[in-house]
Amino acid sequence: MKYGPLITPLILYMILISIRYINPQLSQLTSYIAFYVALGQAFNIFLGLTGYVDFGYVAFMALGMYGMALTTVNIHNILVGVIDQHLRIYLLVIMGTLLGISFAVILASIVGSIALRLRGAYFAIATIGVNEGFRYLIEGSGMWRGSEGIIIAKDLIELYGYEGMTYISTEVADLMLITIGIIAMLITYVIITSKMGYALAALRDDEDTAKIFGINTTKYKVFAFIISAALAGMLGAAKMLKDQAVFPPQAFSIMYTVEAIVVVILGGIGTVIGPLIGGVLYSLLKYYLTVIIPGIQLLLLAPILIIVILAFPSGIVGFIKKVFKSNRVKRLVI
Amino acid sequence: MLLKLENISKSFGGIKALNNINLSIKEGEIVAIIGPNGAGKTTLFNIINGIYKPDTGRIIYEDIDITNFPPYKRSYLGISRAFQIPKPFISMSVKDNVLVAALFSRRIPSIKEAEKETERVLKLVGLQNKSDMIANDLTSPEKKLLELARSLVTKPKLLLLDEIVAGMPPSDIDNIMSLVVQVANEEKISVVAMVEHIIRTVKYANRAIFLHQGQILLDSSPDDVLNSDLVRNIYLGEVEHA
Amino acid sequence: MMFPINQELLLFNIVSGIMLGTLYGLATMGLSLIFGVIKVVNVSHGALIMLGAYTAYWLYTLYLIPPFISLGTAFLIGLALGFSIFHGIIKNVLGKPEMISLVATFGLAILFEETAKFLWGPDFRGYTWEIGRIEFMSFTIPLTRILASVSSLIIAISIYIFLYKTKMGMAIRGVTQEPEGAALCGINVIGIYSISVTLAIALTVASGVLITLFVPAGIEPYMGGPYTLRAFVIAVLGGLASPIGAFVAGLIFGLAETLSYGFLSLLPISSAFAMTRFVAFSLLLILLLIRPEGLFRR
Repeated sequence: MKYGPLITPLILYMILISIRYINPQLSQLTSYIAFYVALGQAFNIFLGLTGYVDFGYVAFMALGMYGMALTTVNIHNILVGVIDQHLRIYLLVIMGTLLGISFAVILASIVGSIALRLRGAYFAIATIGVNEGFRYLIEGSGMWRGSEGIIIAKDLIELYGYEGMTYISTEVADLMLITIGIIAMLITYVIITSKMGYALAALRDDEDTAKIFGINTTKYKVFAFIISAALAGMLGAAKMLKDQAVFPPQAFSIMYTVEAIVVVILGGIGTVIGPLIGGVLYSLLKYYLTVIIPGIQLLLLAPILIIVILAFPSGIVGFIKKVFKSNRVKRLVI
Repeated sequence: MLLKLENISKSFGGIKALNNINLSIKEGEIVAIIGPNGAGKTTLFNIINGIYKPDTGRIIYEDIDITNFPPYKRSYLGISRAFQIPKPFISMSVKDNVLVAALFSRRIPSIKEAEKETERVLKLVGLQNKSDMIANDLTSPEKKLLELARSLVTKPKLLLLDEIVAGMPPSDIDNIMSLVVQVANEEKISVVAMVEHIIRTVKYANRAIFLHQGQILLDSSPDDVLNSDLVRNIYLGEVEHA
Repeated sequence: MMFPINQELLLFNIVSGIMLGTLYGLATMGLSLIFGVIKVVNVSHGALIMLGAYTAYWLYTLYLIPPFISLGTAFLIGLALGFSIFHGIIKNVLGKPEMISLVATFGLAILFEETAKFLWGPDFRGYTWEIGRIEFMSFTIPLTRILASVSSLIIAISIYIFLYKTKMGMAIRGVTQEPEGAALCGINVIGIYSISVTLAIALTVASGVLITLFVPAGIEPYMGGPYTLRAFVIAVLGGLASPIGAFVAGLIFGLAETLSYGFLSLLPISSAFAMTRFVAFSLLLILLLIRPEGLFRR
């Protein structure tokens, strides 16, 4: 396996990490960036590699948030008995993340195994109701505290003290965000360079012909879907530690899906480094725009999205590949 | 018996594309299916591949009823296809187009084997120097060669060959067809070739079937079929592509 | 478990459901038409309905123009909008991977919603156009609703006549079923695409007006989302490419939704409204699983 293409993104991640730890004042910005990069990397595994659009992607992240929230609230009493502070934190993080991932994977398995037998347009239709459906399930049935949402700030303070709570929502959460981005990126690379990568590339170009040549397209689509969902679940768990509160309307907000699509397409769909570039660009844009013109990010984002998808469907990485025709560049930037 | 179609019918809307087709193909046979536009040849191939489900009838392949098998399972069993209008994986390189087919063939045991076979087949059709080119950038005739290469690399037992030679100059037609026959004989591939425009390619087959309006009207030796009144009537006036 | 079933209430729900269904059906025909002709799923469908709703609202609130006139205005606005959308965006995504049209129309939806929010604020709007009520057993039905339903039915029938009895309509159906064959017959395929998409979008915007007649409140920038979801369920139920199938499926859906809401309200759950939505979505999944071609084969 040639590891060349991993060098550039890994270096960029190192830079991101260094900035965060060297200059704590920029930590808010860097964690913002880390979130969008991770979101893009995770979403890219499905949107980018299969070419299918999942309009309900945010549901997986929301489930991750609930996984962490429910864990915190429910094992509170058990955790209090654990003496070692560090162990207490690890336990919370690991168990909450595992639950978040499990929720996401279960939903993805159900929805994926049904909806992915369908062609692209039908699949997109099926997903458009996923986040709505789940949100209404929670609000309608009152499960998981329904519309009230779950707030864990108090639990965290009781478990870790006020400083501990801050520590978790900054250091721990940020580390998680960056780690998820790196994991997602590595997974993307492994998939692309494996047999599965060939299957996905073929089915993306011509699904019927891919089937004729022995590719079980449903299997690979479902695989990519579940992996992408699991990473979203992880991301949600991290986000929960950061925000410390989850409410159905915000957690299931379609805004995240829009942003995920923008990051992936802007950067370069289906590439390893694309979401990293797209995530950095988008988050910087959003961060500074929010300061200058609050409240209308989506209004500006919408035409940008339309223009990008129509005029630059292969994103920045695609543009780079076109401009720099040398094979060396092509091999370094996949 | 390699392939047996029993009582296959297929309609679209009100139109009956295939009407009670019964057909058997043996190992190693090279069969030409002649028929003018709309005779049902493409539908027949799509049914064998599994893209369409027949309304009635069964498909038996090597004594297995594959009527309900999805396309990828049929590929595992050794059914391959080359389309008349090439359908390469446009964003992939020439090499990868063939490699992906080789990777997912059940008769190629390892990735190394797959790469070897890919190289071999690309050389066979003469595309080895264009391995790294993006498939979409190939010329039209080159795309047809790629189509052929991809269909052959899987080590198929049954090759469904749409009329890929349509539109080629005569010398190329002969080269391609002789190549196909040669490979077929060497590797014991049964070939079912669609013939719509290039009647002269029928001579490469050892059996000819005349399909018209969804029904098999003749099934005999190429000479018998070509010389029959039926075929001459239907094709009368059609300029035989020289 | 026996629920006390009130016969009158049941009948009332059935009638209400069918009336609602005519609206849902009409609102979905545009989606089916577009998909049938160019195989593009218009994700901005609900947002277009929202624009129609706002048209009715503003014309009535500012100029006291009754929704019947605004129906025509909305239709004209829709024609202009549809034409621009087709030639500005849709034309450029034909023949390209599905993802592109899905993301592009999705972007349109967001654009419409955010523009509406920017111009008119996020608050819920409503208006009252009182023209009387009708007594039905022990219930009253506002005349506006009856008007809305009847109008939907009339418009749907007109569309049926257009598609099946006029030359243009037959050309559209020809292109839907067999685009290559249609081109060979000398039909200007791009022209048909343009007309179909423009008409479909105009129809969708106009249906937004009628919807406000039925539900004259709850007009807000994001109201379109649930309608998009409903339209998708109905369109799939009716055979994604058939506008007529969509209308009939709309009737069924309206009926089912009303009855299930009524039923769920009797159960001890915190929000029947939300649960109904959830049921609708689950139904979509089940439907796509067993019969994605819908109940009608065209």
